Amino acid sequence: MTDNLAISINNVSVKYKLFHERSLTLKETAINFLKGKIDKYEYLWALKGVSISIKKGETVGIIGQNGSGKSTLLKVIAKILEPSEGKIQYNGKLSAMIELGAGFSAELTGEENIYLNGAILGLSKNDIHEKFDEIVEFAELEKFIDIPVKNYSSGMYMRLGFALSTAVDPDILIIDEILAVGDESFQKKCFKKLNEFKQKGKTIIIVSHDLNSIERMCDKAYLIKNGNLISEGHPKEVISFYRNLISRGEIEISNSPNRLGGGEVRIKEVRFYNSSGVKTDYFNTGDTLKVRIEYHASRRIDKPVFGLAIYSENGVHINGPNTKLSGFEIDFIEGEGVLEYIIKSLSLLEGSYYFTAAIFDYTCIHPYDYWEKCHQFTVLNSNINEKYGLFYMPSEWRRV
Amino acid sequence: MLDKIKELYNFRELLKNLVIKELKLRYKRSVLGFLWTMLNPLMMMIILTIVFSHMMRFDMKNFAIFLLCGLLPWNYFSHSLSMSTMSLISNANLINKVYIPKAVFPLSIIFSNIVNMILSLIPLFVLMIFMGIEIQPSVMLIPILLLNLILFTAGISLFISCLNVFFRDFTHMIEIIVTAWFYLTPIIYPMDMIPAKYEMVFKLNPLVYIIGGFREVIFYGRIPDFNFIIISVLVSLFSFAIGYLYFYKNENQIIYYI
Repeated sequence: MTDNLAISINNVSVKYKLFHERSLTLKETAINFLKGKIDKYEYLWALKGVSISIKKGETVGIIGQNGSGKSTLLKVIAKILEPSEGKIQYNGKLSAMIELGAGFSAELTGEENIYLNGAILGLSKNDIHEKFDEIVEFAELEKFIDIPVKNYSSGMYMRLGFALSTAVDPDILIIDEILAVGDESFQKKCFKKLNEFKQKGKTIIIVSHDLNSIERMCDKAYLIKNGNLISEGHPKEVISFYRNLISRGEIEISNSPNRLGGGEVRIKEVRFYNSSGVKTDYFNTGDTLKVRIEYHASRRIDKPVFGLAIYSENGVHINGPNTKLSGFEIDFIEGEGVLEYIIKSLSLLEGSYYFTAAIFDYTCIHPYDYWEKCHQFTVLNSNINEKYGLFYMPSEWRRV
Repeated sequence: MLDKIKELYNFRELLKNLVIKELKLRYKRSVLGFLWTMLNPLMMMIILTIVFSHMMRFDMKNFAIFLLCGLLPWNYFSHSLSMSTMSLISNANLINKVYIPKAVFPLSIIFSNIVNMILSLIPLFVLMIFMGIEIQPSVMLIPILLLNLILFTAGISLFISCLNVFFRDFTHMIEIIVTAWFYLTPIIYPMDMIPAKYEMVFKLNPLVYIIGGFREVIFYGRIPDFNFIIISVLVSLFSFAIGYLYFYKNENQIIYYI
């Protein structure tokens, strides 16, 4: 391993035993043994031959679906799991934030927990003593450091957890999804701290669903699918490759059954069209977006209500109009049909968005078909000179 | 394997902190605090003395002291066992989130209990002085006996803490085993009460040597046979080696079952 590498992951695989029937107790094991039954299991490869070299000072993001193996990869890097095959080498001290405040003991005070958790993270008593004030100050807990952490608010809890993990002053920092929590001012503080880390030339590894943060923070991104590393490179490219896979349906948007309803009416297809009537999933801010919901009603349905919703990539509910609210009453539907919803000027900024379509009865209680996040469309970087947040609102600057 | 031991050594600060945590939590909410450590065996002693000397007419001079000498190391052993059975499972959250050599959990119990054990020796000696029993120089051997006790208990604790992750009902079995072990070890009765034909069986019980030593040096005030000491040292080392080896072999599997 060369000196300019922080971590070298060499052909690492992790396999789990997936039990079909598993005896959890000695009693069951003994009975099964006497009956001649053995625990049935098969191996499930959570990671297959992943090799990654992370340079010192790099900030890298790992992305992928739930169950893709990205969290397994993170746990292997954090030494929580031992790889079944392959090897990982490190250059420097490691600190992992898989869950903030995981080791806190509720009955102990903030101060006692700092010493205990400092030790869990591998700090000596002197180290903690030196950094104690810094930790307390960062966590803004000066007044509360003498009370048991069970009386802390969740915000205080997380602030203390974050302050501790960064106080370790690691060379390599591993972060799992935790930046999605906490209030905004705390999040800003965390990002600032992470930027300080970056500037000091430390290595940061982030796993997150929030593709925008990955794109903003990372120098490199890795895409994991079914335990394999399928793409690596510049975050922008990897993320757009990932979005492509999702929109082509090669990656399920969600593993959970995302469709329910009575089935009297089925949504056959949802398609997006641009202003010139061409079918596409890519739009620019300010474009016209036409959604066509194709349905089939197996019998006559009186007064159906069509609804839809748009979500941002990290699940923010952006809008949710329906025909009833809009005063667009439909007397009845029967057989095949198409309903169109037209957004005259799309004010969303660059990013991927989920689309939910649904058909309800008139009371909006009984769903005929509710297809959550059935489609995804992407807003591309356009001539609008804004990139933060979700919305573009036509506006101007003026000096008064 | 050497790496693992070195790593455990590197986490000694954590081990120390966990021991302090155990001790703090135990006494945090009690008015008498550390006094409980001393009061608890004294109460036990009073109860057992009443039962055995007065009700069952067990005729022995200074029975109370005799009893305490066996009861204190036994309490250490049995408490450590029952506490360490659950030590990995109750720390599942931590084990899933942070990398820690897992042996620190059962070991922290071993060490926090030994602090209690040593503290509870204080009332024993006070009581001996109070009852006019001379304390012999043989008590100098106590540190060696303690070391044996720690190693022996640690070995078994490491073994069962790990086994209990794979077989969750093991904790029930431990309770039964510990109860049986209590009566099969000369704690509430002297060794010479055992009928000659069973003596061989008792000699196979390692606790006879581990716990018996305390009674020899404190109560009888004599230095045990050389053979006796050698056996207890070997038994402790053997227990620790087996327990640690089993733990070491299975440590990496724990995370999949916890």
